[in-house]
Amino acid sequence: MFRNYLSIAIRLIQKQPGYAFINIVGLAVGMAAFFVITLFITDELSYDKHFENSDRIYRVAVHGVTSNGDVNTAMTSPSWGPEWMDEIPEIEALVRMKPPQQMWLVAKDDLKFFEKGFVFIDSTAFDVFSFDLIRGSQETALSAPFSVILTETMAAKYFPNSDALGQNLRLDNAYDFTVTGIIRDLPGQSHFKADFLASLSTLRTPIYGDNFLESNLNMSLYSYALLVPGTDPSVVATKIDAYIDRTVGEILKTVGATIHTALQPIRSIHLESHLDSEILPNGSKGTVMALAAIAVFILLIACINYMNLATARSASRSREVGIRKVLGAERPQLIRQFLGESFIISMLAMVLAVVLVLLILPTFNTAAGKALTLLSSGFLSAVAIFLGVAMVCGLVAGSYPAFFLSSVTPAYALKGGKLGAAGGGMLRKVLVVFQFATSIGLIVATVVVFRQLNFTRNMDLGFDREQVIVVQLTDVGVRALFPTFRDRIEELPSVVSISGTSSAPGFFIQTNLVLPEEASQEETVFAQTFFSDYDFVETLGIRVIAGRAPSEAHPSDSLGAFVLNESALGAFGWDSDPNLAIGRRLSFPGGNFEGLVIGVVEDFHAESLHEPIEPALIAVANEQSYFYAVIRIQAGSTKDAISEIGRVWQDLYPAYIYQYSFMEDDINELYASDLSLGRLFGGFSFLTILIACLGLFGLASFTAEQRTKEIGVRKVLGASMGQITFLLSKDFARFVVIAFVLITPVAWIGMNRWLDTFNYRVSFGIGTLLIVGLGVLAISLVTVAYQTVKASMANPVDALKYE
Amino acid sequence: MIRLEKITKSFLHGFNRSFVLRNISLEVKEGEFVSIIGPSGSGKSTILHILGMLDEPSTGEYFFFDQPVHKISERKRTDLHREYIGFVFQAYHLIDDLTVYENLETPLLYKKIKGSERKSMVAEMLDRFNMVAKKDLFPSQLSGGQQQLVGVARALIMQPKLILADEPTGNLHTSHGEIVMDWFKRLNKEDGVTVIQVTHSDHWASYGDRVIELVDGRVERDVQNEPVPTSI
Ligand SMILES: Nc1ncnc2c1ncn2[C@@H]1O[C@H](COP(=O)(O)OP(=O)(O)OP(=O)(O)O)[C@@H](O)[C@H]1O
Ligand SMILES: [Mg+2]
Repeated sequence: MFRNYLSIAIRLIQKQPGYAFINIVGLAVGMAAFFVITLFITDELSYDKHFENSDRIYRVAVHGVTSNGDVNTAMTSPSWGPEWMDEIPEIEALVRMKPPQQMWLVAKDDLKFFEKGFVFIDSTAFDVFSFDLIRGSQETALSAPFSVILTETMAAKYFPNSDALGQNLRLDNAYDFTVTGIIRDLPGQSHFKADFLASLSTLRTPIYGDNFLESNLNMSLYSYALLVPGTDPSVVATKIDAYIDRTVGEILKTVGATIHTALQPIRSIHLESHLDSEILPNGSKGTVMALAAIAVFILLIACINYMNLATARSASRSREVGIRKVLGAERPQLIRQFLGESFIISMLAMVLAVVLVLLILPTFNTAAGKALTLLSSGFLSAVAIFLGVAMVCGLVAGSYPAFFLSSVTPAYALKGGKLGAAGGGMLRKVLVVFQFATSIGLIVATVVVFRQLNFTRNMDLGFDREQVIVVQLTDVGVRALFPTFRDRIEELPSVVSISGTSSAPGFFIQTNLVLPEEASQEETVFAQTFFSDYDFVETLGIRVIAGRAPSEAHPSDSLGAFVLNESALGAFGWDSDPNLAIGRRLSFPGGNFEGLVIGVVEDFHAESLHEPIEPALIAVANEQSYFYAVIRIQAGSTKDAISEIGRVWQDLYPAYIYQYSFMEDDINELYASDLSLGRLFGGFSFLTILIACLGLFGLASFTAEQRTKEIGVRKVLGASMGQITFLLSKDFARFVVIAFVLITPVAWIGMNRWLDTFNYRVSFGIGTLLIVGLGVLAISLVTVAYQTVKASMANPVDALKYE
Repeated sequence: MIRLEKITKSFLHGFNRSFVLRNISLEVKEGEFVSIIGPSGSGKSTILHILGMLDEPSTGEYFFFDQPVHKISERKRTDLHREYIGFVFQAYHLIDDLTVYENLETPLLYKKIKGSERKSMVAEMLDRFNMVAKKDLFPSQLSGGQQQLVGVARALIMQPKLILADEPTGNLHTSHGEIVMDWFKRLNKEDGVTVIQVTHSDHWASYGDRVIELVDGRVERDVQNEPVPTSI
């Protein structure tokens, strides 16, 4: 029996290769898209699961409330962790970790690299994280200061020809570390990156200042707790809150702030945390869900093609069904036959899908910022997913034709009765409308995302982001020589101006509590702070609206001078007149930094447009505060500027690596996840419309075939070719129009919601929708044009004879 | 073998019910060779389909070997029809995508007959109809007469007790028609197979022992073994 079905299926494919092609390609594209998305989602969901006990590991996060806004940070104070460990019995083990703010320069003699994965970590690391130590001792490897454990990759990178254990590595050209252990590489699916585990006790030395580990109100490292099985994390959080209240409650009260902690399950950090100072950029749960929905839709759309074409073709198959029934076939046998056919198609599609996945993955990886491979979720799971998808597709796609066709009464079928003129036809239309609605929705989403990204690129940010190079001043040694560096850079012909600053747009922006002189402690304001030299305002092209920018010409500026933005005026209550601010005294509570307001500038966007503009403060400070040099260069001399600056750097800092970027790129980087969302929408909407058009093409050919006689009669009655083409196209156009009407509200609400995640956004109305709708209409008409024109050109006599 | 009691068949045309068969009662005994004749649209095919359990009557009762066909389940009906009935059509109704061999094999597959037995049954049929050389051809590669022979062979392969034939010779040249009719005659006489055929022509009708004439869904005439007047 199976052989009988198989030979029928294979002969059908041979006889109607076009039909088989459409089905197989459509299904394969859908399956490939589904598989790629599954890989992506599996990857996103697997973060930090590789740690043993990952269900009991939590990171302590701090939520601070002040009179002027909230702070949500993933970091805690260095002194806290060990004391929690002592006094909270529910904490089984605790580890503190300090990844680099930017990067560390690591050197083995002349081998030098900037390393992002150089983390300082407590000797309790192995109690919490199941790092796989293959050399060295868990008990002692991280006890002594200046000890470091390497991953296998790093060991091979720095010690290619010798045993790393016991050898030295130099950090920041200054500190020598002894290699005390080697661990296996960690999977990339983790919210932190660790290539080097250095002993945290090292930080009692001057690297971060002598008292770094004792500071009790300085959120500057990450604390992870392994809880006793069965512990409610909120109970622990309450105990931690009590500890904080007892130890630093008084100080917090004086500045009008309160702090609460929360325990974040380590597995949820990647997709759900989104706090300030995440170690690596988080993923987005929204993207994961949107992609999951797209995956299901694309596969469904591909299955719909099969159903549609199979029902359209049912007229020619119904005779076979009639005969088989006459020959004694029972309905279940026929159902099995048709399901079998769709399984064969879907298995062939599966094979093609594997090839497509290999083709799609590189592009997808670029768009999504991943390094997925066909087997990255494991060989067995890849096989299981593919087979599973092929089975489900075979079942879903084949079920309708199978049940529909097998229900025919044989006497009717043998007479060549037309099937499903009403029922099947209706379903077919609904399915086509569904396909086009999905296509239009995805294309609208793509267009909106890119329009918004374009908007963010072209919006006036309040400063000039073009022709600015940012050079990182990562080390104390580099910063110490900055005045010389600045003088030499200023002389370069390709450079307009240079400024040293603690924060730059596109990078991490520091915030501080600021207090006006006459106000009480409770009226402090959280303000973004740019500790910089005199030329920051000029170099970035920030516009002064009152007072003046700092200047060497005013010696008093070096004693403490502030420039505020407009939002800061608002926060201090001076917004009625910018000049009110000039001459006021500001200070940082608890610190010894204070000065006079000398000017006010227009608001400028240092962060992404997702964020509102916050009060900002440009403070004149010395070179020890500068982490970046921002350099404005002459238009058209980019190449010269880069190499000239590089030469100065080499000359002045031969031991350090010259690291530069363009501010425009740094700012665009803030929208990396939006861009990847846009690219993903774009890619998948292309696939969706491709599949939908494949289906439409097939459907058009069957319709044209079925209506041959009608067309013949109409032509005999004098209808022109144009009229016939119009008649046939009209039916297909109707699908698109109905799909458009149905999807419009969904797309409109959905995309406005996404746009609302930006504080500054484009407007999105019916215009965009209409353009996309018309575009899809045009595409669909072009798709059916070949069939309709062919049908309308056919000789009417042939058509009538054919019947 | 067959007993029809007041069988009617009607279709809804909009709000009108049009009757194709009206109150047909008749009996056919095992071993008879019946020809059904009548003008086009008189309901010949319809009654044959009902007899073959391919279609259901609107009202009335149908007994097949004393089993009430109108009452039993679809499954049971399929069993009866698989067991006892072979069908031959004017349009041959072979499965285009299967070879001669596979077409003959299909009913055996549905009856779940084992491979070796199946092979010998198909081989025997091919032999009986002199089609061994053609077994791997597709229907489209055969002449009309050859196709109809395959149709007859396929109907016979299950060794049915009843053969229903709807204008089996309608599309054939006379010489081919003779071959088919001779087969029916032989099966009827030698093996005692009951044959009911629908035909337009008196010539082919005369092969039967009994002629039933339908007019407008009614039995107009039911006679034994005598030539029919050429009034049609
Ligand atoms: N499914 C149906 N729906 C509506 N009317 C039908 C249907 N099937 C058959 N009829 C009608 O029933 C009548 C009898 O049809 P039937 O095929 O039995 O005639 P026939 O005697 O076999 O004619 P012919 O000699 O042309 O084959 C016809 O008028 C036909 O229009
Ligand atoms: Mg007929």
